Formats: sequence, structure tokens, C-alpha cells
Amino acid sequence: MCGRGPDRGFGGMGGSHFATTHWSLVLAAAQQDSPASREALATLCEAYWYPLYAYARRRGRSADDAQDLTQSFFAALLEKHFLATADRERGRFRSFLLTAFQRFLSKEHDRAMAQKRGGLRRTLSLDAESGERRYLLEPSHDWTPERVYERRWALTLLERVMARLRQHYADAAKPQLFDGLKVFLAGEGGAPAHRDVAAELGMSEGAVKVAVHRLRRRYRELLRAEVAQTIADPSDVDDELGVLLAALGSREP
Amino acid sequence: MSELHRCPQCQAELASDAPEGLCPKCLLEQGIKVVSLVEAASSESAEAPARGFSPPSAQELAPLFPQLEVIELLGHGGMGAVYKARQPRLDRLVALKIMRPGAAKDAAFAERFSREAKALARLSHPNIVTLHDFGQAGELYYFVMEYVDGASLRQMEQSGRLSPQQAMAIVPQVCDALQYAHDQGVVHRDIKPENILVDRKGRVKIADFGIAKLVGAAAADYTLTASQMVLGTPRYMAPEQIERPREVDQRADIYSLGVVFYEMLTGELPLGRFAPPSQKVQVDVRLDEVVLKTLEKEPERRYQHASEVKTEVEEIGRGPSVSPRPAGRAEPSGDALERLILPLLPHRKAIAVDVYRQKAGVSLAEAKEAVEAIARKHGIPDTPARINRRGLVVLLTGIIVVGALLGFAIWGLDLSPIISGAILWAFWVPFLVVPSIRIAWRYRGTTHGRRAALMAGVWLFLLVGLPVLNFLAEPEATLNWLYRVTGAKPGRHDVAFFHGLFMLMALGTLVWLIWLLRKLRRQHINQRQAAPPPGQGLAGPGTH
Repeated sequence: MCGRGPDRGFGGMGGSHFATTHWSLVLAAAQQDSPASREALATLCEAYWYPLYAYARRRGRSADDAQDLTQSFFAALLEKHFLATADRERGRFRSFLLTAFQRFLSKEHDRAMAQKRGGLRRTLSLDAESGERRYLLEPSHDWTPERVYERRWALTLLERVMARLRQHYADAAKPQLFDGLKVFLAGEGGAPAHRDVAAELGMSEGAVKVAVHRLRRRYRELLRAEVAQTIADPSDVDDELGVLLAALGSREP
Repeated sequence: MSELHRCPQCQAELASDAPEGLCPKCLLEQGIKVVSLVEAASSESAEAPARGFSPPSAQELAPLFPQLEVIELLGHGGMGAVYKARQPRLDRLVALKIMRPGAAKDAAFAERFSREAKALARLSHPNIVTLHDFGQAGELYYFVMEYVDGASLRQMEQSGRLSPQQAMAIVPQVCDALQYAHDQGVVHRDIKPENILVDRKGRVKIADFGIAKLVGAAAADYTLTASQMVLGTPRYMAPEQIERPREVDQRADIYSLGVVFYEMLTGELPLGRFAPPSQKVQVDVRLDEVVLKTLEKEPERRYQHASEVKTEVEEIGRGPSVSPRPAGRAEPSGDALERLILPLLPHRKAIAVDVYRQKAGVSLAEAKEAVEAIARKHGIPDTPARINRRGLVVLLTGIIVVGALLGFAIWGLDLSPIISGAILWAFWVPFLVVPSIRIAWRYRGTTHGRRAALMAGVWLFLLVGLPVLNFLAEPEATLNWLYRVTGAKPGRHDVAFFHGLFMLMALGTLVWLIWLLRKLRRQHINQRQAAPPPGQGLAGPGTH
């Protein structure tokens, strides 16, 4: 209602010098296609297909249906670039994707069936089987499909960030450090004492504190970077984080 | 179903696919939080982001408010969170606003809170969100306010649904609210698009009156300017609000209103050296003055009262729009215009004012003033502007009488058709047709001129129509005369030819008359629309 988050003037696309994030690249290339933008879009789609799948399932489609719909939607998206139709949602890939998918669902119901048999060119590798397995693990509250989508989006984003974080430490040949310290990422509340962790990892307490601080900082950077990839204007990152937090937080139907 | 783990920190259920086994909510919260104050101070934005304040859900809040039915979270900011709720006993929807816990914990705050809230509760105005109740539930300070089913200006701007006309309809209502509050001694101090709500019926409601002052530096949105903590949202704050916060009065609200107005019209904030609104969007040039005056840096140079702003904006909205006149359009200069006006004074002042307005492209009020000035200049007495219907009636009667006499002369006295036609022409042309045509030309482009053209058309129609009637009544006689004059041979095709020719002329004149009438009627309607009744609502803002 009033005062939602720190105000920031107008949302919307930044100028061309922001075209380093995936989504801003895609948006900027709305008129002229380029291999870089197509790749960016493909990357984004590959990363965030599961929330759409979960949405389709929550909308009442069977597992097969949802799989086909998601596949053909992404194929169509990569082919045709539905960007012209979604002007309001351009700022955020998350909302754009959902709106485009909703439109797609309402139009393509029958066509999707035919395409399944028509040998659709699959340009994305969606692991539909694992998708269904994951979907069955979703909490069975009576949430709206949109809620499910948003929540899944937030979780997918977090998973990606954690994967990158883990990779970062693996590259530095310290995977056990990540495992030992990751519990601190969720805040002080549930974390063990620094002393105990130090003993476990064979480090001094001071070193543990420093390592935790570095981990947190790296995590924050990666988190913000990941969010920024899905929006056009980097100054919207805080707002988008707020939306994602709300998507995870509330437990109302 | 897998066994449920719980997050040790927030006690939320942990699904088995939680990222790295960590609670996603806590994870994300930690990711948002600012790690150290040093980082905050050195970060580019001067605004403090929402510091990890995750508002409780509606269910979590419910036990604290047994007398309410908390329905859902509507939004949250740095100050706290707002929920949609219901008062079952009164069966009405309300908005429940809670302050961030830890906003203030001392007794002095509690006392100030109570005093200020009472002052706010006394504000009762259709354009101000009413405060129903306030208090403390556990550790939370809360307000129960009127629920506004609509959208904030910020939401309307972002979804691109704000036209200049709507902005012009919104601003007077905001001024009303501000003037009322100022009269009660309450200054808002935080006017911004987020605080201006528009409900589905187009009514404007201002929220969070005085809360910026009430809540204090700890919880309100603040900014670190020169190591001082200042209240309010910097971009909308008046300069004196930043520099001398204790000396702020109602004029600061007027400045903020100016910023909001500018943003509504142009979509941008008036920062540094900014262009006047009419140079950025298609709006009335006179708005520039109003907006610039509200944005004066010195409070003394601004409008001193919100009601003044309202009057100006409504005045501009009433008259026909004045756009910066494109160069090259030859409008009559002062002298020529005067010569047009003078013959119409004093008895047809209304027509004179109309002519002036249409020729010079100014508002009704300005035209009236100008015409009166011309009258004074030439020593013409001022009569109340009335349409001189009497003169018209006299003229019409005279014509009918004379026409009837002539008709009698032709058919009664049995004069030949040619002679009678000639007489009619001789009578009508100099007295009626020529003057009408002259006026229609001189006053072209005005209603007066068009009316004269209409009259000329009527006479011409009659002029052509009567010979036609004549011909139809006595075709032989007319034709014989024509053959004699032109030396042509009689035959059936000749009859048809002349028949057709006369018909064509009559038809042509008729068509021209109808066109003239329609144009006049349209002009009449336009004049009516240019002065709509005040307080017109907006087209609905729709869902947010």
C-alpha cells in the first residue's frame, strides 16, 4: 500500500552501458538479434526452467504436459523472442518469463500436443525427469501457481548461487572449508561457536572468523550478481531481493 | 514424506531440497543485510536499504491483534509494514501499519507517540487517510487506518498510467488535503508518490500524515547527509527541510508537492537545472509558472498556501489549453482585433468576447477583460454581457413581413415570374446577403462569423429556391423567356436540363447550409466541454 521499500524513482531499463547482465543484453537486442543475446537468453532459460515447470504442474497439468509445454515454450521463446509483447515486465526476467508463459499456456494448449509428435527441435537440455521428482517434493500447501513459481524462482536462484560459491572454493582447492563454514551463511542464530569449528578444521579461531567474513562477502557478491543477471537496471537489485524474500517468507495461502 | 527439520534460527520448516541444507529464508536475508557500517557509508547510494527487516506474516501477527482479522501483508518499507485487515464488529476493511520492532523503546517516545497520534486522529478530511486507532501491541507500535482500495501514485507512474490530465485532477485534491491539515497545524513532511493513494473511484487519499515527525529518526527512512540524520525522503524534501529541519513549516509540503507534480507530468525529478514541464511533455504552458513557483528554493518565494496552488491549477484546467504558439501563424494584432470588436459593442458584448477569445486564442476570462478594456478605451459604456436576442427577433419579423408582401405582389397581383424574381433579388441581395457575407468573411474563424455565413446561406438558398418554385409552378413561362433571351430551340432535353440545373443549385446550397449548421453545433458543444464542472474524478486507476 504505502512505502514499499526504499523508493528509487523509476524502474525500467538502464542505458546501454548496463548491457553486461544477461537480461539487459537480451532486452537491448530486442530489435537486432545477436548471437551474444541469444546465448544470454539461453543461459537464463536453462537456469530458470524449473520454476516454470512447477508453475505448469501447479496449474493442473500432468507431468508429461508440463514437460512438453515448458520445452516448447522455451523453444518458441528462443526462436521468436516474445519481447515485444511484454513491455511492462521487461525490467525483471522473472516476471517477464511468467507472463510470457501464461500467455503461451492460454494460446498453445492444443498446439503443444501436436508439437510433441512433430519432432520439436530441442535447443535446451531440460532434465524433465528430475524436475518431476523435485516437484513431488514441493510442500503441498494450497498455494496459487504464481506463489509456487515465485518461491521456486527464489530457491533456484539460491541454489545457483550456492553452486557457484562451492565451485569457487573447489577451484581454490579448499572444498572442505566451504563445507565447514557454510553453516554461518544463514546467520548467527543456528551457527556453532567459532571455537568448535576452528577445532574441527584445524585452524585458529581468529582465522575462522576471517574466513567466515570472506565467505559471507563472496556470497553476497555472487547473490547480487546472480540477481542482477535477471534484471535490466542494476539499481533494482535490492528491490528484487526484497520480492524474493517475500516470496520465501510468507506462509499464507 | 521426509522428516521435517527446522531452521535453528527462524524455526521455519526445512525442505529436504533446501540449498546446501540451509534455510533459504535466512540465507536470503543474510544476503540482503549490509555486512558492516563501513560498507554502507562507502556504498554509492546514500539511502539506507531495508535492513533485513522481514515483516511477520499475517498469521504471526494475528494473535497480537485479537480484535482484528489480519488478512494479508500489503507492503513494507524501512519504517515498518502495512497489512490489510478487517474489523469484524464494524465489518469494515482497515489498514494495519506496524512499526519496525526496536523502533523506539523509551518512555519519552511512548508519550510523544500518544500525543502526536491524537493530533493525527483529529484530521478528518475526505482526502486524508483517516486514523482510526493506534497503540502498542506487545513490542510493536501500530496504527489502524482507513483502507484504501487502489494504488499509490508511484505504482501508477511505474505502470505508465498517469496522463497530464489525470495529474491536473489529482493535484487539487492533494492541495485540499494539505490546506486542511495546515489549517489544523499539521505538516506532513513526507509528501511523495508512495504516500499519495488513489482509490478506484478516483479519489485521492494522502497517507502517513505527520508520521515522519512522529516516529523519529530511528525508524523513518533516513539518509546520512553530512553525518546528520534527517527525516523524510531526500528527493522530495524542501531545501530548508534538509538544512534547518527544526524551522520547517507548511511551505515544505508545498515544495514536495511541486516535486511530485513535476514528476507526474514529465516522469523525471526536478534535479539541478531542469527544463520546465511544457518543454518536456505536451502540457499547458501556464503550468510551468505554477510548478516553478512551488519549487522555489526560498520558502518566501513559494506559494504560501496550498489553496493558492489549487486555484491556479484549476484555473488552468478550466480554460482551453494554451500551448506555446507555433511561429508563423498570422493572428490579428491588437489594432485589427479592436476594429473587429468595436462594432459589436456595447449591445453584443457576449459575441465580442467570444470573437476575441477565438481570434486571440486566450481564455474566457482574459477575453472578457480585454474586451472590457477596449470598451473603456473608446468610452463605450459597459453593458452586462447578454445575447441580444431581441434584435434578432425584430430582424426576422421584418423580413418575414416584407417577404410576405412581396409574395402577395407576385402571386396575388399576378406579376410575371421573371419580374417577381428580379424584385426579390433586388431586395434581398443588398440588404441581407451582402452584409451577411461580409461579416462571415471579416469574422471568419469565429462563431459569430459562422453564424453570419449561415444566414447568408439561408438567404441564398431561398434566392435559388424561389426561382425553382417559380419554374416548377410555371415552367412554360420561364422557359419561353429563357429561349427568347438565349435564342435556343425548345425541346424536351432543354426542360430537363434547366430543371436539373436549378435543382442542383438548390441542392448545393442546402448541403452547404447543413455543413455550416453542423460546424456551429460542434463549436457550441466544444465551448461547453471547455468548462467542465469542478471536482471531476479520474478514469479509474485499476488494480495495482
